[in-house]
Amino acid sequence: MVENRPLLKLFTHAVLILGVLFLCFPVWMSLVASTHGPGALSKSPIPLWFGDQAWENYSQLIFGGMSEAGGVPVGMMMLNSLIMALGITIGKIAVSILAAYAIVYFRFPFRMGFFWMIFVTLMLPVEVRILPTFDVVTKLGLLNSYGGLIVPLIASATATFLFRQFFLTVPDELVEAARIDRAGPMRFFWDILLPLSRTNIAALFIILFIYGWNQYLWPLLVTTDESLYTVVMGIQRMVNSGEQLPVWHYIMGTAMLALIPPVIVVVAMQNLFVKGLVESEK
Amino acid sequence: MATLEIKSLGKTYPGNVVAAEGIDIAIEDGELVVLVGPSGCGKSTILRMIAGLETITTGDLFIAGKRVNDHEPGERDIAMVFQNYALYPHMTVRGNMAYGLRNEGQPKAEIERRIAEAARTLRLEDYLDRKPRQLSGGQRQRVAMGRAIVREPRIFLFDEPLSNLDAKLRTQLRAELKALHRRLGATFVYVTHDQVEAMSLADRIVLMNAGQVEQIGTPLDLYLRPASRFVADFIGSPNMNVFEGVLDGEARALTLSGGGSIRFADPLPAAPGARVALGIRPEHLHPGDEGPGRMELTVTFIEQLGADTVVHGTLGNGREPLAVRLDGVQMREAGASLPLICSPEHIHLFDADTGRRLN
Ligand SMILES: Nc1ncnc2c1ncn2[C@@H]1O[C@H](COP(=O)(O)OP(=O)(O)O)[C@@H](O)[C@H]1O
Ligand SMILES: [Mg+2]
Repeated sequence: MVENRPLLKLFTHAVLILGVLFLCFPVWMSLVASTHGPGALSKSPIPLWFGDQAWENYSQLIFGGMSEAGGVPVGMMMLNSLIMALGITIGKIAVSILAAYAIVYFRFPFRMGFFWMIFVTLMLPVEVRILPTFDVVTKLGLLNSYGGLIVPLIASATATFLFRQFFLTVPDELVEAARIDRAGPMRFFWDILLPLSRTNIAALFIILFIYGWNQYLWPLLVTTDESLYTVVMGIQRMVNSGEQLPVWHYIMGTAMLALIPPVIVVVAMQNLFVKGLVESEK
Repeated sequence: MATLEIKSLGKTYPGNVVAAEGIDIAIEDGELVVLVGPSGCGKSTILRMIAGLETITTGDLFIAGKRVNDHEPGERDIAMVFQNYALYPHMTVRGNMAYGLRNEGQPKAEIERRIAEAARTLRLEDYLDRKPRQLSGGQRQRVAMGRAIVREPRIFLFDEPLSNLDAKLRTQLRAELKALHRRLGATFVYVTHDQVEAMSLADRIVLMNAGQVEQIGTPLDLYLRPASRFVADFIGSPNMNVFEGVLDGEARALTLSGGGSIRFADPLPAAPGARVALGIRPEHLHPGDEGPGRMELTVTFIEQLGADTVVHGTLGNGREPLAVRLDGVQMREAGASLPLICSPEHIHLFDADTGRRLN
């Protein structure tokens, strides 16, 4: 649409800017609050500009122990969250791309049966199967370990389905050309299918990383050891820290820190994602 | 370089779709054989069985005398060029050509040498570092040919490689392909639905219809002595005129089912009273009053092609359509009548029921 009506333009921009402000205001509030001392947020008026405690607050958060969150530094929790989120993301992508590869490119007995079995698990997210899963994880001795945090969340019907749909659009001739070029199944997967799936992988990486990073219920169940706490759990614990007043300046600081990795992932992957969309290659 | 022998080859797809049946073809070393026929007649199926991309239901396949029914495509010493190019989109032109060689474990220097040579032959030197999407259709198809050439296979297989290109480019690449065949001296099997392409490329043509071979022969064999009405109809443009009718007691006159009749000086080589189909190519009819095989054309419209003129009309005043090709630019009014003659050696006679050739 090429329209040139200055008033309309002004109006649409105003709406957009308002929307952005509306969305960013809470983030701004947290950022500001995290630079003040403990009392600032419980007094009126709430500060809208930076205080002078930024250095103290953040160094305490990252390196010092937070008694309110079980005495673990937030840096440690961030690391735990990162390991969990990456584990889930990479695990999910690896498992589902292989499952989709098997289902699309190989003829084996009950192929469609397996496909539907995977598909049906869409109806069984962690929350639904949480008790049996917890039982299994306990019996495997995975409580309080990264394995316990990651493995039960790895299977993904959605990602399998997505890769399957993508593989179905890859022309048969490409597979046949590769067969004539003496590429076995493994070579074909590594040399051709995987590079072609690059943009799909990038998109999934964003979604799954955020999914993994935001996990709350499951980590809460399988970890009792403070050294395995994730940052989302940490925030929650600080908010509910019993008798004391919530330490809002620390909570907001932690929230700010917890924002950083997902933002980095989105920004980094978005480039690849958009590039892939632009240079359609099939 | 190798011979290729196909013995009573057949393919039945799941769901009992018989795509090919009882195919026998013996292809000599260095020959360029074109499989031609209407779409859906099983050409690709046969080519894909030769390549090993499709399992063989019945019959045997020999390459250089060795039975290869159960060999993987990579083990058959063949290379294939597809209609939609099937280049690896994420690899450069160089990468596309090198891929098969790397999988074979060829040394780097050898790969480089072969790519350089193929690029020179196909005039792709300036494009080696481009991705397929940065190339035109013609260039892509050249890359696909390059990918086949560098493998130095004994047999090249082409499945309608020029069908996605515009007419001018098609003619140009056809000539390049013919030159390539002469240079390499390898065995080529080429599939197309285009009879012109088949005629201009082939050493020998295999003409197929509904999963079976109709005729195998040189392009001129097929043009001059089509073995069946189907072949006669398929080869040549404009299409051959075919009239169905019943011969009289002396086999000298044909009473047409569409009305009218044609008389001949000598008896036709068919049983008197038989039901036959008589074919005459438009270019074998000439204006004239005196002579054997006389007939009259009532003009309906003309096609001016420049080099020649195709006059369409009906036979006599009947309903049988008739076309004649005249040299150069010629004018004829619609409704005008044009007397024609045809010499006996240009008459094709087919059984009206089986379509087999009678003379
Ligand atoms: N994978 C398949 N499954 C079932 N039928 C097929 C398959 N491939 C081709 N056919 C059928 O086999 C016949 C021959 O196909 P094909 O060899 O591709 O014809 P052509 O290349 O001469 O156009 C067609 O009727 C087609 O529908
Ligand atoms: Mg075909």
